[in-house]
Order: sequence, then C-alpha cells, then structure tokens
Amino acid sequence: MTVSTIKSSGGDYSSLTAWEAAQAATLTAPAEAECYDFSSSENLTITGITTSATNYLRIYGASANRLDGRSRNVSGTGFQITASSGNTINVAVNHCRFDGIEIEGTGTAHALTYQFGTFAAGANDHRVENSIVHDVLTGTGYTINASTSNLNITIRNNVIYGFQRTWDTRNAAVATSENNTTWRHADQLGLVSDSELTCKNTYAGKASGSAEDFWTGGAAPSGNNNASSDTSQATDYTAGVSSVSGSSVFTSVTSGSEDFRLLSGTNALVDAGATLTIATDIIGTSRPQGSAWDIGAFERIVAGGGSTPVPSVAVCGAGF
Amino acid sequence: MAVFLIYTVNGENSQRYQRGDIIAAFDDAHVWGRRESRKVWTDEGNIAAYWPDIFLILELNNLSLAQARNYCIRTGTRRSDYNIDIDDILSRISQTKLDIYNAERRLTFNWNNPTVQTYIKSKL
Repeated sequence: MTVSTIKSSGGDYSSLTAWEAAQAATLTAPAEAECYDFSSSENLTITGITTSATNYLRIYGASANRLDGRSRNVSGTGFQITASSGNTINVAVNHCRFDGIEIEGTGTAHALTYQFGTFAAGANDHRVENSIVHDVLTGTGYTINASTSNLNITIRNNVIYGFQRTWDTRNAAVATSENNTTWRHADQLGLVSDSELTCKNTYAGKASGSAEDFWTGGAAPSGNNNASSDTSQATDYTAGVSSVSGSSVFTSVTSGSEDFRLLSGTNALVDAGATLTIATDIIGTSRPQGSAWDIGAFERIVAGGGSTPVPSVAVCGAGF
Repeated sequence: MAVFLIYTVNGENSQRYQRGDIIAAFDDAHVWGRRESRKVWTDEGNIAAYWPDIFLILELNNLSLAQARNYCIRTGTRRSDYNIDIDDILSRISQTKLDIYNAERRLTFNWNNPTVQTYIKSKL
C-alpha cells in the first residue's frame, strides 16, 4: 500500500489533482491519499488508472483531522475539496473509495459524478463513506450523479445536502444506501432510483415543496427503515417513518449552517433503524447507542442524552 | 504571480497527462508538497536523485490566478486543454534559468513578454 499525504504545507502533495497525476497507470497496490485539515479548491478527475478489488484508490480524511459531521464551512475543520464550476470530482476508474472527506460543489455541475460509459460489468466497486457531499446551487447538477451503466456503488454514513437532486442511481447495476442523512434546501427530487437501489436507515428530507424525497421512475427499489419528510418512504420501503421534518430531528437545517447531528429529547430517527453491519457512525460513534440503530449518518449518544458527538475514533485507517 | 504545475513525462495511456500538460494553477503564496517541488524535497534533506521527477513548476509574473485558471479548464474528456513545449522552452532560456531548472525543476518568466505568452499552447 502506498499512502501519500495531502496537506496545505509539509505534505507529499498540495492537491488531489497532483496526487492523481502521480499515480501509475496500473496499480499494483492500493494507492491512498491521506488528507489533512484544509480546503482545496480544485476539480479532480480520476481516470486512466487500471484498478482492481485489491489495488484500489482511496481518498480519506486523516484521523487527526476528521470531520465532525459538519461542513468545514461550519465547523472550520476537516479536509474539503471544493469547486465553483465544473464537477468537483469526476470518477472514471473501476475501484475508488472516499472516506471521511468533504466534497463541495458550489456551481451548477455535480459535486461527485461517475463518468458515463466507463465501468465494466461486475468489475467495479465504489464507496462513499463517512463523508459530507453538498451544495450544487442551481442548474442540472446533482449532489451525487451515479446514474451510470454497470456502476456498483455503496453510499454509507454520509451527510448529503444541497439545492438540487440529492442523487440519481438509475442505470447503475447495484447501489446500496445505508445510514445516510440527505437534505434539499429547494423543492427538488431527493433520492432518485429504480430497482438497483437497496436503501436502509436513510433519511431524505427537504425544506418545503412537493418533490418527493424518495422517487422511483421505474421498477421499485428495496429496503427498509428509512425516513422522509413526506410520505414517499412508504411507497417502496417497509418499517420506515414518514413526515419527519428536518427541524424536528436535526440541530440545524438552515442553509449555510447545516448541522445534522440529532437533537436530544424525543426524536423520530432515534432507535428507528434496522441492525446493519457497520460498527460506527460518521464520526466514529459506536452503533447502536440505544435499543436499536438510529436512522441517518449520526448515532445519538445515550450517556449524555444530547447531540454532542464523542471525539472521533480512528476509523479512517481501518480499511473496508 | 500565478504558478502552474506541469507534467513532465508522457503518461502510459491517452487518459493520463502527457509531457507539458498543465495540471493545476495556484497563486504565488502556494506551498508545494515535497513530491511536487524538487526544491521542497531537497530542502527537507532528501536526495535530489530520488525525487520522482514528474512535475515542473512554471512561475509567471504578471499573470493573475484568474487568468491562469482559464488554462486549467477542460472540455470533454480531454485530460488537459493546454500544454507547453518543455524542450523548446529549455532550448531558449539562459544558462542561469537552466541551472535553476536543473536544480529545482522550476522556471520563472514574465507574462508581459509576448514570447512567453506563446509558450502555452491550446490542444483544442
């Protein structure tokens, strides 16, 4: 395994673009970028690299500089890659993982996109975990565009929000959503899928409007224990919770000061999830804390009874 | 002043950067990583010969960062829309600049010089 550091000073590279450029065209070991505490303004394209299940690319937040579950714009900590025009990250290799970083797009393109026509059937594995992906202000961009043929993608333990469609996984081969918190500030569709999606313990909500939180264009997805601010979670999923407003469960859904840590007191998302296999939440808190898993990216801590997260745990180096 | 990170070797396939491709642009306060800048590498006490040697830093006085970023915009699936002819530039520069290049893989020019403006070529 080759681990390179991405830092504002004193690292191997000062941008992910330079790190990507330095990778061999054929990986013979996992190539990892360990990202430290700064905001990097760049458009990252990952392409032309032959990867495999064992020789993959991984971009992750250093354990000492983990996100606290909020954007760097709010908390002032963690690694952020941001772009005001063009896709912030465009992935066109078969095995790529993001873990514990923030991906921000403040323009009209996608924050994170998987390039159309790139992926071989059954031979790719993509993971977005413990990360924050957000914004995309106007236009046709999605926060995550994964509507790409043959794509296999797991989206787990993330906070994903913005003003446009949260994600679109239609055309993907397999999409798995577990314990994500998603939010739209505008009246746009949320999680758009067909039968490729298995969705569990995921919250989808919006500030106002009638666009569905969970929207299916064709064959129905599968899953359970999801929650929505409307009633759309009940259309295709079982054992979920409907009509959960963001303000009733999250610390702040205000644009620019988003904080999706769970409120104390009665909270519809707490202990409402199914038991899954991932051991921790977005900031490293063990699951479950209460009688059952919580829905969304955060597991509320029982001992304190409040929304304050425990100090981060070194999840990043643990691999997958 | 704006600074470019330039790729100096030919990538193994057409989707990888090629020699002379512009990778990224920053302002002059940018702090390079040790694998991007040979000077940073050697300043840290590392042996110059062991530096990966796949980048050069092109410093352009009187070029703004906003102007420089226009040379980083990509269209379609092309990896880079702009590049420089490194060998041609090296053949034109003074011995002093060549010495700096050989030691640090760094070149500095004045963008107000019309000749320098021809160094950046469009692939479009």
